[in-house]
Amino acid sequence: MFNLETAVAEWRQELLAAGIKAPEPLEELESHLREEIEGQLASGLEAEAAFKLAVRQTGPATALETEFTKAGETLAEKLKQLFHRFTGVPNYQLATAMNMTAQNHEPGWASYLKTLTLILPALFLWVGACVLVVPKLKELCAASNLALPWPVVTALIVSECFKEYFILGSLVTLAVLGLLEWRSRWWPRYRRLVFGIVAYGLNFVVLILLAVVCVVAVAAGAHLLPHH
Amino acid sequence: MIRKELVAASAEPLVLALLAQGESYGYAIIQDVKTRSAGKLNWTDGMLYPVLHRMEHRGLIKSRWGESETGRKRKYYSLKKDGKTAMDKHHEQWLLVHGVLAGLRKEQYV
Repeated sequence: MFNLETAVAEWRQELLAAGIKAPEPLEELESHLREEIEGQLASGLEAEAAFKLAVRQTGPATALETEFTKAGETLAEKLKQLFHRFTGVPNYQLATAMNMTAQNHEPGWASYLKTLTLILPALFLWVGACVLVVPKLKELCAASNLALPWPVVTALIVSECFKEYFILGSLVTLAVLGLLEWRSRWWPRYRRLVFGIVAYGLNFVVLILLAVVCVVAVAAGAHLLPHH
Repeated sequence: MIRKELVAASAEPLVLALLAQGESYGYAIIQDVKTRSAGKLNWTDGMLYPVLHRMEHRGLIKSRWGESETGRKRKYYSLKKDGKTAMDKHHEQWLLVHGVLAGLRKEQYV
């Protein structure tokens, strides 16, 4: 039995294999193909025949790739992609596309698993720093009359709140996620993007924090050295 | 059917002239050209998109993602100022070629 969605997905894979890797052209070509198919369907063709005709009319993948390579990508597009790749979204068009079919979304459990893997190291580092490093840092700073810098102070306050309201916070987060999974229609579309940005932000903040801690430790240590 | 060199050469001026009438998207541009040429200017559809991207790259046109009436994603293109200048230039050159050709043909029958 011919399935249009599968056929379109396979066609997209072919373009990808031919070397059209940038999301924008892929998105655009798919949008075009679907319009073409719709046009053929409207003129009375069967789904399979409409699809085949539309593919032929759109042109062979390799030829398209050659032309697209000649056209090149704009700098803005490259930067946009680079940024999204850093936030853990390899294809932002896929992550935010409006006309995606369900099968093109990453499965929910995969997003959850990936997010956990990405944020656990950052959480461990943070907790480790709060328990092991910061008390020492406080001592160092007290001994050398150096005030703790504000990022560390803020982080400590946040950590305290986190400890205080850990159970409540977890429950609220779970409830919100549960509600989104249950009721929201747009959530599957943006789940991965949201998770990606949260994980990126958290990792970023923790890294900055650790860097600040190191710098302060060195500065405070220098104060403690005997002056000649 | 028109030769493919001529089809390729006329793609840019045609796209510019079409976009001068207002914002449009790939599929509509292709259909419009097909209708206006009574099916004789037949692009391999996919080939239009590299042309559009190249023109955007050169700053002749700009694009934005929008939605169709049925909610499908669609990339709309519109003319920029440089595009308008380029269009006028194309027009002038095509008219010149046409003028020379028409003049020569007329002389043949005198």
